[in-house]
Amino acid sequence: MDATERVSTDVLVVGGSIAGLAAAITAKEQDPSLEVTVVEKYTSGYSGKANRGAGIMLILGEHTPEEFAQFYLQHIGLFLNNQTTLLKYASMLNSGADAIEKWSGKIDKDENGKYRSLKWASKVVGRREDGKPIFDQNVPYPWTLVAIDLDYIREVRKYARKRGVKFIDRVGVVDLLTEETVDGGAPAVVGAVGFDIDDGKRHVFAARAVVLACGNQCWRVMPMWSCARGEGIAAAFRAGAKFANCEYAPFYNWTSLDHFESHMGAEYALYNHKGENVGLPLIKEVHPDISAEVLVEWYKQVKAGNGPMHYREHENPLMPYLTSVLASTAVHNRPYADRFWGYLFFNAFSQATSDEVIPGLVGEFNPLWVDENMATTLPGLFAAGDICVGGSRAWGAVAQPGRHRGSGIAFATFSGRVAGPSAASYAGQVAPPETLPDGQIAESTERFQAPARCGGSLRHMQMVAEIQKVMQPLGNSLYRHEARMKAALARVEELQAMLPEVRAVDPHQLFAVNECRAMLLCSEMFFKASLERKETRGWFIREDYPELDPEGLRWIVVENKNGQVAVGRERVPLEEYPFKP
Amino acid sequence: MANIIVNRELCNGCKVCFKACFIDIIKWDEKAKKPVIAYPDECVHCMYCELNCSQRAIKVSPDYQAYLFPRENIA
Repeated sequence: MDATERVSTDVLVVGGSIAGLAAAITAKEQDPSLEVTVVEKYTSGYSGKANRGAGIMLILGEHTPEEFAQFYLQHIGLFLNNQTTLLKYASMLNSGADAIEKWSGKIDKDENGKYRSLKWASKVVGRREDGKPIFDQNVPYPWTLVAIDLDYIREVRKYARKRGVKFIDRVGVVDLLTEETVDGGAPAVVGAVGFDIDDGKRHVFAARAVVLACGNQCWRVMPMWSCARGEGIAAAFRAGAKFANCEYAPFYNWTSLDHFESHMGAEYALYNHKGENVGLPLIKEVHPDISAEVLVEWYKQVKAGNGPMHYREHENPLMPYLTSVLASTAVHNRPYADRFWGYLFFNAFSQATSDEVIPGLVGEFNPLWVDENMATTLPGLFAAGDICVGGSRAWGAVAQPGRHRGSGIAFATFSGRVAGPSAASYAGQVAPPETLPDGQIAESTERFQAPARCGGSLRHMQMVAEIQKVMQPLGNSLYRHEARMKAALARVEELQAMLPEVRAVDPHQLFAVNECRAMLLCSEMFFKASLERKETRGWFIREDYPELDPEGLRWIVVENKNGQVAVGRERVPLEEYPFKP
Repeated sequence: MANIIVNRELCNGCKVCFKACFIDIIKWDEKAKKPVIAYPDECVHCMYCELNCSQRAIKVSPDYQAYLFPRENIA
């Protein structure tokens, strides 16, 4: 029996949301003679996170890349940045919006045909005659935000198709295929193995170059981030890729157990049960977005018996801004996004029974190492979007979204527009693989299909629940301590040992087990890297190491040594960069 | 779990709810040309199926109390 679909292409893009589409379109533009194929586990155009957020995209507007970079290094990244990539990101922000518009995404414009932009956290200072808000945009952040209607990814897919990009939907890639290189260096990526999520049919891809754009790891905790389950990260690890900034996750959002909708800006109005505002005193004059310090304060208050914690929404100074931008026509004209946010707000506000606020783990574990050309350490493997935000080191000592909202679509578009041409150039220089490694294909197939034969008693959602119990607690994942992290890591290893007991009866469940394996690998990488950083720096906070490491700026890197997670350190080459602390 | 209701009379078999689901809750019955709500316990109520249905033939009613979240392990 050979129920295998074999696909040969020049550039294989794994993941069909905005990062993957950006890579596919620009690869095809760079070299129209190349065959470019997007493979997507669900359905490209609807899948991913980039159409389930605010639809807000960061651009520089009138600010310069240097101005942006200097602000970012000083207030957010704290110089733990790859400044080359940071400056490249900054210099491609404005053109990123133009690219989305060229690809048929609708960016809201004013009556003069210019993007209608509004700076983050602008204050409403009055109302026009028609009731629309008047904003004071005098805020200290050297960037601004444009608004895209959320059906844009569907439109961009159509654009890509018209330009010759091929699509394979409902096939999830679970492993990369590699071959040894003649110089004996890192193995080159020559293809991938995937399975149809409906009928389980195996797909084997041969490719000259592969772009991983299939998202990061969010451990299925918060609803809108649920699709990010880290299989791409795990596949890259098994193939031998390098990682960085594993410890600069996770992001937490203020939320409610009543509805799990985000409470942006809750730190301004965060009260303990004694009625004290414990968030506001920690907010610095320049406060671009939620900080780890206020999340830690929530933890300390709860541990001190001062909970439950409350959010007095009417005191949140961001509310007039937020309610003008989302589910509203007060500023932007975005009918699809308005309906989407209307649903979410209706669901949330109709279910709210209290003002209790908690930090919900968003995750955003995104450590695939890439250089400024979005090349990983494996020849032939490139990356774009959420999978490599941390690994690019562009943003430094901060968790994604990097304390600058609107950065998700911005980074995805930027990195896709870089990865696509990089992959196309590489593909144009190498021959297509003559043969694919049968042993790797068989090993991957065996790993993926084993849960159908295991006869175990565990269900995948039971395993997900156990993983979440390790990752969600702030004491494990945000306000870190050696003893707690070692206990968490020991639990992760126990769960890894239980994986063979998780059974699957259909392709959906086979994928779920593969995702659980990826979640646990990501957890292991996360805790091992976190134990290695013995200091407090930016978003990374250690209870047992509250000071900066006197050794200075180091990246914690993770590599696969004989199948094991190996942790190391690398000095940040400040002398090569234009800006110094 | 979330209650996802399909009105089979209104449904025209366009498949958009199936395509719109970003975590494979909704499968597709090719014979009947109707959606199958295969994994409602995993639904995260993103509302995309309902949002995209031109016939208003699918409704999602979230059940946040049953939503998988480590309620005892927050801090």
